[in-house]
Amino acid sequence: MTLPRFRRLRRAALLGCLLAPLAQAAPKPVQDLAYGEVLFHFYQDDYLTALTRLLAAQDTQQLPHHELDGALLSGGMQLSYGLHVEAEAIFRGLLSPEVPPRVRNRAWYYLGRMAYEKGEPALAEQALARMDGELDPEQAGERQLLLALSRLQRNDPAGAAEALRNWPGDAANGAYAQYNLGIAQLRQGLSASGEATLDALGQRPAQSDELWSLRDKTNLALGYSLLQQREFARARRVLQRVRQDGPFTNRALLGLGWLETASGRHAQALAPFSLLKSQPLDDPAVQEAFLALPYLHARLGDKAAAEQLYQTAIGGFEQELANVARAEDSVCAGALLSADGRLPDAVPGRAYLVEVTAAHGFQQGLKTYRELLALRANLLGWARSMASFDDMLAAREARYAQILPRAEQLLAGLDPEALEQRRAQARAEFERIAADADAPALANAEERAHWDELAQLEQRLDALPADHPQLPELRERTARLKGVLLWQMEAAYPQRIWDARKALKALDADYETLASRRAALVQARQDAQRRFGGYQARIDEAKAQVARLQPEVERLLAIQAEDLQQQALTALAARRATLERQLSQARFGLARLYDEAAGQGAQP
Amino acid sequence: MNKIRLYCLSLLLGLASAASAQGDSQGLDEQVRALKREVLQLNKELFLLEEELLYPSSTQLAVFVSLDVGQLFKLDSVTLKVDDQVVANYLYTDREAQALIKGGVQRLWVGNVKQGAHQVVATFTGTGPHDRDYRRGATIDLTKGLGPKYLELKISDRTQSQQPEFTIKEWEQ
Repeated sequence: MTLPRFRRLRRAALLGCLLAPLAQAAPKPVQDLAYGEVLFHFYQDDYLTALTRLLAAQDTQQLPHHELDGALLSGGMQLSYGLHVEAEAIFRGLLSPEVPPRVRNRAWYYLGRMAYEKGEPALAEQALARMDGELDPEQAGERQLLLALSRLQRNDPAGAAEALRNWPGDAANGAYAQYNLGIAQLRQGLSASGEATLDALGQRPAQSDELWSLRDKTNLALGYSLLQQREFARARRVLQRVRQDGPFTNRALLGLGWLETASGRHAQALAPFSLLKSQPLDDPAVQEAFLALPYLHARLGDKAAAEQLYQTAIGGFEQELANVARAEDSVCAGALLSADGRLPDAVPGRAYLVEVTAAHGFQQGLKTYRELLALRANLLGWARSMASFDDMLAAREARYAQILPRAEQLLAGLDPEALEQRRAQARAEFERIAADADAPALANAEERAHWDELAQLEQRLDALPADHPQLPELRERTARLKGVLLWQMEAAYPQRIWDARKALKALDADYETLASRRAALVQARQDAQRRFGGYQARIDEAKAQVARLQPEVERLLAIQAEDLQQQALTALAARRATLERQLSQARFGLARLYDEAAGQGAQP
Repeated sequence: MNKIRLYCLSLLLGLASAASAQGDSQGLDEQVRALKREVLQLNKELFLLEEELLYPSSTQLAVFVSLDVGQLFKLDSVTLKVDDQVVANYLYTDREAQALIKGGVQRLWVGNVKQGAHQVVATFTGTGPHDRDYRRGATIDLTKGLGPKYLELKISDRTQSQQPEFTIKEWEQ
């Protein structure tokens, strides 16, 4: 085991919860569809698509209800994507008093985390101190964990231990807190307290693989620490707690073997080393056991077994050196980074490559490499679809040219002002009739004809001499007829005025439809002119950008691949050097056995 | 034992440096970051351009799928018809279904329709209560106006009847 794995363990407490709380904090159900769509991609870990959609939604003001959640999510994703400057600017924009504490605290937390990761623990602590109000257990735990790590970073283990002592967070992160508390106590020089803390964690029930892994790592670290202090009984108890089928089993067995050897119990050391010997020899712990076993047999006086085991070890180490050479050849042949950035199954020397690629530094480089592959695929996808952008634009322009004359004709035939004037006149006439209760104005055709005849009759009667003998009677009959007609019209008036009002409303609706359709037509014409005017320029610009960025991605991919290859070869060279040393030791041990045998044989 | 001692020290106290090569790669990191920035901006610009070109707001109809709670129904697929034409037939992966359960909203389909009256029919298949195969439909008659029209196919748990509910919500923009 090397330091990078230990560092990763400590970081895991923080990085494991980098983005999840952001989305969990978002209200559900979402109130803006665009935000929900961002979350859909975010929850599938497709951050490039999620970020793209989020930035687009922000640009087009599609997040009226989730503006702050969107900003927080954008900052978190950009941070995770390595865009620290952009992320910091976003988080700093969320610190004003009017921002709700839930969002503001999260922004302060991320600023603290960024400062910690940049190696500025004092700034990290300042940021964390700005988190105020009541924090939920998850947030409180994250804050205290980061606070403790910042204090450890500026060499204040007492402060770190203080931050972790009364754990306010949730149970899952509590295990990491306990681990860091143990480390802080050990760094304070409080061996007994630190060991007791780690010992308790090493016996803590684990509900998940992650917690089992942490428990095993804790027991392994504590066991080796006790072994170093020659606390053999305690070390044995602790190392025996490591699971027998986990990734730390071999190292625990190795520790147990060394423990028994160091305590002079050579016969008892055979069991763990023998168990290790049955494991694949590419594991460094197994390689150690291959050397330890013949040494122990020799110490116990079983020279024949020791000789055989040395020979087995020599054969095994030679074989492993050949495997390392194969792994080196594979790296040089470029097999380490297949097309999708993953290690192929059938690659020669794969076991050694798996170990190399598991190292923290390599993983970081590989993450960048994979991100670059994703960018390459993304740009390639756009490059392919850009051609269809041109086709689409051309098709739309052609269709537009085809329908434009008809649209122009329709628009020309519609005079909205004249129509509006006629509608206003109709409404005014209706208002007048209603105000005057003018029943004759709503007469039907027959009544109107009768009404007109009676009016003409009255004119004719007016033209007769005033002393005409029949005039009084004629006037009386005309008046009676007019009265009857007026009575009929007034009787029908309520229904007719209601019908008229209804018809007027229908006219309004028809008019609105007509206006809307006309507006749509005008809008479509304007849209088309605007689209065609600007789209070509945008397409051309984007094409140029894609064409410029594609070789840049290739250049960076080549550099990154070279860097990873170098890292792998350096790590493999170290493994080869170890194996060569072990091979020499085995040959030396065997030679010594032969010498001893020869010496005994030469004695009289 | 010396080897063990060194091993323990590095394991427990974190003294060794894991980042010895970091200085050399800072230039590369910055170049990668600059590239990411540019690609991200380009993606946003092209996404918006594609939307505007392919689906102008005057004709755009977009249909989304959301899942509230999701305990009474496990979504397998959705078939979408617009004016009696099948426009989408979507099979969900576990990952996508989980993203919906967590609160994500999927844009199932986006297309162009003329202004005026339209009918949208969605058919959901999956597993309902008591692990039974479940198939339900939801229909909406809508009027497409000048702006883009958004529909949300909502699957929610009706706790009273212990049955899933399928509705279509119209969003105005």
